[in-house]
Amino acid sequence: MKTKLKRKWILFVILFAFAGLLLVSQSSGTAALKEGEKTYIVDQTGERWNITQAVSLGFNPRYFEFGIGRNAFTPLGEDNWQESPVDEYSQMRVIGITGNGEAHAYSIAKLWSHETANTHLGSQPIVAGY
Amino acid sequence: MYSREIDGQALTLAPSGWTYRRTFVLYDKETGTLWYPDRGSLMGIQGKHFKRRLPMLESTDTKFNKWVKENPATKLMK
Repeated sequence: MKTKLKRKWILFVILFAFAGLLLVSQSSGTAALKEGEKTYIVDQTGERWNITQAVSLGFNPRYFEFGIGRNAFTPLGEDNWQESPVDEYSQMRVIGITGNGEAHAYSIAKLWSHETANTHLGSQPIVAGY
Repeated sequence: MYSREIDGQALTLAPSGWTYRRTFVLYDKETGTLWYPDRGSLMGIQGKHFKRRLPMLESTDTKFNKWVKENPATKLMK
């Protein structure tokens, strides 16, 4: 009898914890603001982002996450090419691209921390991201 | 790696600070359009360039020592 009661109690605790987790996961998405026909999301800096067109494509406001602000990362640019001689034995991971008589390599570790690099491959404007 | 030229204008792409389904949402500093990876391109999902596409360019994920052997005159960003 005692064992049955214990099992029921454990089952209750598990179900309660599961329901709690479900509730938290459902409430962690980004809340959308509706103003007439328009839909906005607000990031952590207080900036409102109009996503009305994105929603019309099927984007769900709930799946926009973090919203740490447009200045949280500094994009890389032409000023960030390494000037000193390169270590040709380095085994660092890079993304490489060739074209228009040029070859570029972008350190993946560097892209991780800046997210984008805006450069030119010859005369062609390109963006590297990871 | 993507082209960032549209209608003869070069765009400057930066992270918006948002992700959508764990993927970064970018914006361009010139028009504020939001861009999201979609079927081999970045697609404008909000703003002036809505539904326009910036094509993906062929690139290689490799180690630098291999890359520099094949491309000794390479530029490096690290």
